[in-house]
Amino acid sequence: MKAIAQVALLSLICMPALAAGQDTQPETVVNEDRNVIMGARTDVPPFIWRDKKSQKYRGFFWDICVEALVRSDRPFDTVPISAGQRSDLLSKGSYCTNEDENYDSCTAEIGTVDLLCDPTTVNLKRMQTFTEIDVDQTDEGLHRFVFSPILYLANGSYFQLGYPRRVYREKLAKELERRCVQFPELDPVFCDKRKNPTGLEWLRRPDKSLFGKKPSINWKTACDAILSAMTTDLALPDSTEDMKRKVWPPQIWPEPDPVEPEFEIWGYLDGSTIGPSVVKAAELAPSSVGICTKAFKSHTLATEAFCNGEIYRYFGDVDLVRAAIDAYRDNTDNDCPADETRSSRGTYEPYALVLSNENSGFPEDFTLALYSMFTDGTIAQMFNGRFGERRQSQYLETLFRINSIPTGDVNPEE
Amino acid sequence: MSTGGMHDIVALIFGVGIIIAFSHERFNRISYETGKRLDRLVLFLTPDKLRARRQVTYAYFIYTLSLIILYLILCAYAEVLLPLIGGQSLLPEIGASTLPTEASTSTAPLSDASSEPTTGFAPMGTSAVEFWIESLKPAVSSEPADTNSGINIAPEVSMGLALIMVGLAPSIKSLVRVDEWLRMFAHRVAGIPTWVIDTSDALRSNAKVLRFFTDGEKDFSSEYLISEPERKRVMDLHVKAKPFLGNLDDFILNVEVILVASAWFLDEKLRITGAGDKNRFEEIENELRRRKNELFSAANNPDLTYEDWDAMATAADELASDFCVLIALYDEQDVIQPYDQRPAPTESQRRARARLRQFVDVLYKNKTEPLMQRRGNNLALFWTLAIVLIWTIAWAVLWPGRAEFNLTWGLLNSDTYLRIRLYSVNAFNTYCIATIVAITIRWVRMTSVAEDGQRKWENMRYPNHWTRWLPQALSLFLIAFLVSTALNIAVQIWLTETRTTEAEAWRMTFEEFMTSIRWRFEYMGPISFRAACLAVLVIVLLDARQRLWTDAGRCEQRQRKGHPSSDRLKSNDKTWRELSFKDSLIWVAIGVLMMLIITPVMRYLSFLAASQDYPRPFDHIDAGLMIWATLYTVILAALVMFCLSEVLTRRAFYRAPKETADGMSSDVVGAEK
Repeated sequence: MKAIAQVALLSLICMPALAAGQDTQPETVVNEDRNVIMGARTDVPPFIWRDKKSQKYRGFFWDICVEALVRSDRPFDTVPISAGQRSDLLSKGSYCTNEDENYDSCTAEIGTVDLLCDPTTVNLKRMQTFTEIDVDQTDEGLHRFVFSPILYLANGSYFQLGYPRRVYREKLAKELERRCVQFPELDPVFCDKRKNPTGLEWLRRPDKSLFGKKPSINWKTACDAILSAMTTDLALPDSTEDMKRKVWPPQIWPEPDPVEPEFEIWGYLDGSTIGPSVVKAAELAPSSVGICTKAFKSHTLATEAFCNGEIYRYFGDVDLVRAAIDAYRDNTDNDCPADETRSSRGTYEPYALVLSNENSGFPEDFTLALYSMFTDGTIAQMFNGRFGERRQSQYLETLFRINSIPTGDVNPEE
Repeated sequence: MSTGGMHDIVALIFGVGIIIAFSHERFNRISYETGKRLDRLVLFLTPDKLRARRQVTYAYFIYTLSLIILYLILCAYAEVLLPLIGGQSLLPEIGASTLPTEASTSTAPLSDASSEPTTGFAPMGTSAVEFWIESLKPAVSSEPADTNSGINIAPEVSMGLALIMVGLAPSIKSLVRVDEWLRMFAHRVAGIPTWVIDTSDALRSNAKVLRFFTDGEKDFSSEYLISEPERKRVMDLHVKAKPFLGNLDDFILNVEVILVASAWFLDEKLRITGAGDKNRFEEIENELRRRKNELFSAANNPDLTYEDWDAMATAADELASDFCVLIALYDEQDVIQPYDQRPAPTESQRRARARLRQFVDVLYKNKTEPLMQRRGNNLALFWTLAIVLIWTIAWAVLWPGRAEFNLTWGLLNSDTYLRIRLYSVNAFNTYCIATIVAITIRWVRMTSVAEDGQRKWENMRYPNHWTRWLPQALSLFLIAFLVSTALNIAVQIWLTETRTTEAEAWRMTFEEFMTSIRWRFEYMGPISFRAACLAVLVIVLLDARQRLWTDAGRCEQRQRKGHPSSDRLKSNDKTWRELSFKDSLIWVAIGVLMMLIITPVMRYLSFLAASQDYPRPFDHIDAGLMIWATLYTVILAALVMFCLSEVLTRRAFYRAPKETADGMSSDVVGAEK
């Protein structure tokens, strides 16, 4: 009997979570004039994404959003938000409902949301933008966005290909060497041929002054050439020349290998907070290695490029990058030679939700629901459900503790 | 590895020093089965007395070198070899001496980030930009040259082994046996003790020269510095022994030999030049004097039975034989110099000296040839070694070696001393060892005579039949090749795989070990092949020169005695006289041509061996290395062949002794008149 009672109790506790997972559109009592519109990202696992088969949302943040809405007693409608639409929402306060169209040339309806359920990094610039949106708006009665409490701390770092830079270079070289004709800027990087020494030079060969020097390359133009050569549609030109040196004349003096300019291409998600840091790091990199940066439209594209060996490092919030690579591995048969050792340390990326205060009292109700979820351990349970195999970092654990504010009851035991 | 005590290299050098210091003492230990002949004298005869020092040098060199090589190999492979031969106690225990504390075994994560994957923020400590570009800096450059200064031979091992090998520490049985074998071999090379036995036999066969007593009126005793009472004593003995002894004549001859020898040398009536060296034989002289006195006092007994006379005859025979040994030793050690040109002070001295010269002349009849052979061997060996080492060091120091070394290792710069070390060790292990082995084999075969009386060594330049020279040439080549390859492999494995305790060699299975050996053999073999070819060529040159100078000598002797010489002798004599600078150049051409053909082929084989794990085409660098290797061997061969040919021709082999021989013969003739 006792066991049955325990099971019943357990299922009662789990009820809200189960309801959330089923993506019900509750039509319970409406105590406001309209439903809350929740913008849900479709493509950022493990935080929130839409399952391709069942068209249902999943993820850690989805669990939190739904539970908090239920707790604050708000009926809601869900609208899908893509990466581009999110970027518009954050900078302009609204988005074009047709995700294929640009915001400025939007022919479809311009929409907005009351809750953006998305791992958005909180920073001062974004907060600043929110205040400016309010000032600038004249028509349409637009509202002010605010950030919820910080829900999660992410690491901004990178995954790197699992082989040395030299190998990476050689992989790219197979194709790029032959494109030197089409992209002359590639010449110093890939097509710098060894010159056979002349008679006098040949005799003076051990003379150090004749040894090859490291080529100095204007990496800005070279990077442009590399990136466009990699994505070009031009047909490969027929290559005729053999780059290898012949047995005759034999080499009798030690000669340094022709110094091959080394470079890496760093990819990141367009519009992510890590992007500017990546670009800055590329500029400050030591001159021995050229760094090219490339922004990708989505994690899927970036992952594909990374796993195909087109970019050497893939920058982003580590959890997102990892999930994207795992998805790539699951969806295709290809392995992805990723080295994630360096990703254990990263930049500070505090995540929060974006709330609109147009719907009066909504942010307050929602925040209350969030804190209550922290305090009663619901969010910790949800975390374990989604990240079960990974331990929380020291700082994330601290955040969860900080957010578990006291209940304030006079007699908490009762 | 230097654990506070002596540095391992110092200890090793010290060990080699100990070996060298004690090798002379050990070389002088008796190795031979003391035959009856030397039984009586063996107490007084150490090996270095049995042969003149200059004759022993080569054998001593071989012996010491073998000991040092053995010592170094034992040191390098102590961990493997010592347990096999029963010397475990010498080694410090293998394995951990203490158990590590718990803290150091597990690399406990210092922060939550390092071991277990976490999720969520973990700070970097530096700014993100710095953190990200930090890994772009080039890693610390990896030089292929060894940075390991130690040689990883524990000082305990090197010192302990040195003491064991010289017999100061409890010995290892199998080592003692190896040492005995080495010594026997070295003694055999030096002709110890066979030479002295042969020589004393030859002297006894010539004993009649010392006959001063005759039945007739003639009295030569004063020519032999024999006093009147002694002559009387012989007459007395002759009369007394006559009824008892069948071989009276032999007995009297023995007594005469004893009397003359003791008068000359024990009583020092004959003035000899090397009186200082004579002191070394004082013990043996005293012993002989004691036995002589014993013999004659026994003879004075008036009531001697038939058996007593028989015993006395035997004693006299032995004593005479031992005196001949003594004279042979004197001659070997230059105590007596029968052909000394200095005038004798008195007429009696002059005549006595003439008698002595007559007596030992039997030794000189056949002496020049073996002497010249030995001299040829020594010259060939030391010239070859010197040229190889000097040329190698020059090569290593100068730009060709620098270019070759740097090309091999893909360096732009390298340490000169490192190059000298590596190149000279390699050259010693290949060219020097191959030459030493070849010359030693030739020498041993040459001194041993087969049952049919023919020398076991077949002259390689003027061979009789291919069935005789071909097996000999092949076995010579093969032994030189194998010994040098084995040494090379041992050094290579030691250098690359055993110098650290966690090195590969100690963890290999037998199959892996054999594969490793096979690979090294295929790579190092071609290098030793070149060396063995050069060694065989050196032997051929040595044989060619030896045949010429022997034949020239024989031809001249025959001419002097009026015997007709065969055509071969005549033509060889003519060739020997006409040998010129051009002839040396022909040998140089042969050597150069041989190396020009062999080296590129062998270098290509080395390339094949090196590239068998990672197949790659023969490229421009391999071609360049081939050019360097060919240049090195061609010049080496040219230098060796030229210098050897010149030294074996010009260093008066036959010509100088020829003149003294003339002078001496006239002297002897004069004395006999």
